[in-house]
Amino acid sequence: MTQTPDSAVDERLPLQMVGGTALVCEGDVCAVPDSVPEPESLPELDPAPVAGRSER
Amino acid sequence: MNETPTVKVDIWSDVQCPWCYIGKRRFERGAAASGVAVEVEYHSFELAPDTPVDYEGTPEQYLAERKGLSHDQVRQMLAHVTELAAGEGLAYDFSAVHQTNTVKAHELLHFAKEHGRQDEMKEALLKVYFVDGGHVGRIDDLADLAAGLGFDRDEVVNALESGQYSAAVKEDVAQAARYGIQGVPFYVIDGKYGVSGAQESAVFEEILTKAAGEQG
Repeated sequence: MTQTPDSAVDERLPLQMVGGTALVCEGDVCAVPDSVPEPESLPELDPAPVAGRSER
Repeated sequence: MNETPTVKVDIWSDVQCPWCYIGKRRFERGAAASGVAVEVEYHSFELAPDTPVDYEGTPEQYLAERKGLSHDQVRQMLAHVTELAAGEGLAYDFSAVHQTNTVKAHELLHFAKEHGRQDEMKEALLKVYFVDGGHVGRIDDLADLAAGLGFDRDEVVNALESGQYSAAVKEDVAQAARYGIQGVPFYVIDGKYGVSGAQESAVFEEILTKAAGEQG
């Protein structure tokens, strides 16, 4: 699994995240949700940089 | 003023990522629905770089061994993934999948990009891995696949054996780290918006429309 080196954390490029997190593979495990929610509309933009992990 | 804006989409994914193929279909549908001109560039992300090229087990065995899951649990997971893929018109066959190391497949994607045919190669690699039961880890198999698409087989073998595109793969992985990408598929829209995962096509349609509007 690719790791983010500590030295790179402060150099992260800012992205506005859209759409939450769904159906993502991390390492050799791919999250398999029991059900996939239907999007009602584009969620509000999150100004925070990329962070967090997918649901398991 | 640019009257026909083209939105750049950088996509990080791995050949052995089931959601990446599903995401590819959803992105393509969303892009088509948006009517926005997009320039797509695929980037390398290795989900399991320590997997041996000649791993002999099935995906079921691999996941059971690596994650301590029961075979029943793994079978249920794979059945669910297969069902979701079928909803996108993709006939996944995990009984035929060859779990392997994908670094050479990523190098081949960079080779294809240099020839202006990366999307075609990406589609071929995903299909051969998830649908056709082909091997995407061995150079000979990758060269055969590329030759089938009309590439010069010897040129491909030379490129992959020499590691000509190894640095490009590493740079993609480093760029993913700079974005903080931990999982794939991951989409970067015009270097500004991030989309994580195989979102529904409507999400892609909306963000592409928004990004194109901001260019205007």
